[in-house]
Order: sequence, then structure tokens, then C-alpha cells
Amino acid sequence: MSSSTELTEKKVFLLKSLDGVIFEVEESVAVQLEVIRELIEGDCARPFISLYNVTSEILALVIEYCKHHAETCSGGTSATIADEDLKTFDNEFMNVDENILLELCSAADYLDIKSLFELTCRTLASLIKDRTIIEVRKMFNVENDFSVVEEKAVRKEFAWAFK
Amino acid sequence: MRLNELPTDLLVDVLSRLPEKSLCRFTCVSKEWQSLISSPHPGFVKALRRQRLHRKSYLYIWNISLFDGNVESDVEDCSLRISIVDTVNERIQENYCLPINNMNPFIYTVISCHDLLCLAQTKISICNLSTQEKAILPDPDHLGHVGIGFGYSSVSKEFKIVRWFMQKKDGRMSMGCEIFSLTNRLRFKSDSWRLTETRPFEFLSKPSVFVNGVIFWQILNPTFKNFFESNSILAFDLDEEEPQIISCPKLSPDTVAHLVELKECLYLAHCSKGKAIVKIWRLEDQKNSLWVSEYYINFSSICNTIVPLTSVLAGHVEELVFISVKGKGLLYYNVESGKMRKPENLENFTLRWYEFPCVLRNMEF
Repeated sequence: MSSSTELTEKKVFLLKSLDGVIFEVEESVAVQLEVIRELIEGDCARPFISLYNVTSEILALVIEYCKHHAETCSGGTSATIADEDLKTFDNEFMNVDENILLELCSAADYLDIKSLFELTCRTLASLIKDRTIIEVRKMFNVENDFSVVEEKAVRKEFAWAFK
Repeated sequence: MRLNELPTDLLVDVLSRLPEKSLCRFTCVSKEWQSLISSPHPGFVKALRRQRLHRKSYLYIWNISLFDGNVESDVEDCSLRISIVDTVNERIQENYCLPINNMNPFIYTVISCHDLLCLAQTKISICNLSTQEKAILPDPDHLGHVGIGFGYSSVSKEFKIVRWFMQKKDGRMSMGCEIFSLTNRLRFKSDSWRLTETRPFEFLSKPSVFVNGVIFWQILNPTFKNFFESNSILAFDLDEEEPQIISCPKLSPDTVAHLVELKECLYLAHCSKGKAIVKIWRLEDQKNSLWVSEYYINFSSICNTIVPLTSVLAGHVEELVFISVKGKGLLYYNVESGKMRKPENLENFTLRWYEFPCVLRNMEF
């Protein structure tokens, strides 16, 4: 952070998670949450913004993500270095448990953070891309409602995909 | 949260990012997944289309015929050698060998539409390189091959192979047209070719171009000194199944005309023989044969004949991709700065006399 930004008083927002934990975030971070940006622009932002769909554990991660992205983008570094830095950060950031990843994806959707939504969807896709049918069923807790004959027929139809 | 609690629209968004192969496999997960993936679930189709549009890497196939270098192998297991060039990331992505049985590799036509390839000779087959799916079409009912085209009709949602063949009636030559339709999963709509049209006989160019529901062939004039001095185009609308003749700008001496698809429009390039001078028109109004002159490119001092292949969008800057016919490598022409550059990774790329470049979009490898 440069000293000039520190001189002006920073606008701060308080975000309240589903389980009642309050997070203090600066405006530059808050506006990355499209839902909050809309509130701010419409001058409807209250001191407390309650986010009913996000737990404190996930909200902390989301804020960490937005903070890093806001800092990297506003810092004086060149675009290519910032790009590289964000890539490394995103990769590490995605190194989480499957369930957390899902929560992040759904939170990014709810809070309307496009880059995080894109990142989580992409990560989820690459996570399940090479899984077997049985693994996918287990992962998504889906019951196999095909009869043996039906499943055989579907497998036959897409035989090439199983090679 | 558990994966099974993921709302359907989020699941759709995730699934739409999967490669075709995984998607097809996952139709076996459950009935719900099957209907989500294979039926035209509006959300899914939309998400998929959005994903495909974002994946900008346009890939190109170079239809390199000939056997796979193995002289001893007999015709029954010869293969088509294909190099795939990623023109966006400027590198040779992969070299493929596509088995082609019982085919004479020298009289090959390879045309593409979306991510499908149509290989045509006496037998016609369609294949999807990313999924390795392949379908061999029933033999056409008529001999005497004149021209073949391959495209997609978004109205009937099917791929169509349009084949012109020669016929003689009462001593007069004419050409007939037969069509074969496929669904996007390479399933046949019916088991036979459909006869549609009869037209006066013309010589048609070998590579046809497909743009927005219409297939175009150059009409070649055999009475001209140069066979490729074409001055009109045969267009075939795949929705209406209607042919139309389009007249072209007059060709100046010592130039060759090429049809090319750029930015989802049909372009006509007049390429000077021996020099890198290219004049490019865009077909503005098909009904009235109205062409608009769009680019004039002159690099005669630095290279020989160049032929446009496609365009790429890097950031907001558009570049036209050319291949040098006699020299080596691909050339990128920046339409804003008017500068030409030669990407290092693609420098060794050459086109041999029997090879035709072929454009594939939205491929996944």
C-alpha cells in the first residue's frame, strides 16, 4: 500500500456471515463482490451487510481471495508480473478440500464474484474429468438408477469414451 | 456442503467445462445425468456454447496424405498423417495418425465443420478427432465425383454432406446433388443419400468452404489458361437446400483466387502468383453478389506467394494468418499496424504440393 492511500480515510464495510461472525473489509475488497457493489452503488449499503448463505469459514477464504486480487491489481507491479502472481496465488488457493471447493463455488455464485466462480468451476471440472463412473457417483452421492440392461446399452452407445 | 447439494445450474456450469469424452462417459452415472447431458437441456446447451466460445484456440489440420512412412505396409492399413497447429498459441500442438483403410491417399478431400472432419474419396467417413469417434457413410448411389461439401444446418440441427456428381442424359452433361445427414453424435438420420437437385455441369474447386449454414465452391473455368481463374461461386444453403450462383470480382492477370472463412464471413482472396500480394474481399450480400474490398496486402519485397488461412484475435487486435506457398512457415499479418511477423515456433511448417490446409474449431486434445 502506498502512503497516499493511507492518508485518505478508507471506507470500511462489515460483512456478517451466516453464523454471525463479522468481517471488516475495505471498499476495494468489498466491491469485488458484485452483490455488495450493487448495494454500494445504489447507496443501500448498511453498516452490517448480512450474507445469509455463507459461513464464516468460507467467507474468510472469499475475503482472502478478494483481498489478494485487489492488492495485486492496485499495486505498482507490471501487468505480466501481476498476472503471474495471481496465477500462482489461484493455484495455491484452489488446493483445498473438495467440500470447501464446492462451498467456494456456490459462494462465488451467490456473491457474484466472476473470477472466483470461473476458477472454482474450472477446478471442479478438472477434478472430476478423469474419474470413473463409480467415483463420480460416490462423489456426487448419486444413486445408479439404471437397470443392468439399460446401463449396458448406454455404455455401448458411448463405448469410445471408455477406451 | 456436499456435491449432491450442488444446485443444478452450478452442476451444469461445471459439466459444461468437461471435455466431450468425459461428458459422454458420465451419461452412465444416472438417468438424471444422462438427460442433463444428452437431452437438449436449455441451460446446459447454453453453458456449453458459452464455454466453447471462450475456448478461442482455433486449431488447424494439415491434411498430410501419404502413408505413414512405412513403405512395406499395404494399402489396407495406411494412415493419414495430420499435424495440428494451434494458431492462437502459435505452436504445433500434436501430430496425429488417423487410420484410413482401403483408401487411396492421393485423391483425398478433407473438409471440416466445427470439430468434425469429413474424409472423402470413394468412401466417405466423418470423424471427431477429439473423441476418436468415426462413422463411415454408406456408399453414394452415383459415381462421377464433381465436388463435396460438409456443413451444419442450425435449423434442422444436423450435419450435412452435400455431394455433386456427374450425369449424362441424352448426350448432355449435367450434375446431380445428393445429401446425407448426421446428428452431432455421428448418428445417421437415415441410411441412404437423398437426391435433390440437377444443375448444368460445372468444374468445382476441391476444397469447399462452409460459412454460416452455406457451403461454397469455386466454379473453375477449364477454358481459361489457368484452371484456377475462377470468376463465380456455387453456393448451397443447407437450411433451404437451395443452390445459388454468386459472381465474383474480376481476377487480375497472374493471380489465383482462394475462398476462405474469416470471422464467420466468406472472403475471396486474389493471391498474386510468385509475389506476396493479396487482395481480399468480403461477401457483403450473397443475394446480389455484392463484395466489399477489405484488405490489400503487399509484402512482395520479403516473400513469395502467400495464401490466407484464417484470422486470430489476440486481445483486441486481429491478425490474419497466411501460409507461404513456396517458402516455409506461417505468417501473421496485423490488420491494425499493417505489420507482418513470422512466429518462430511455426517457422518449419511447410505445405507440400499435395496438401491442403483445413481449419478446425473448438477442438479439445
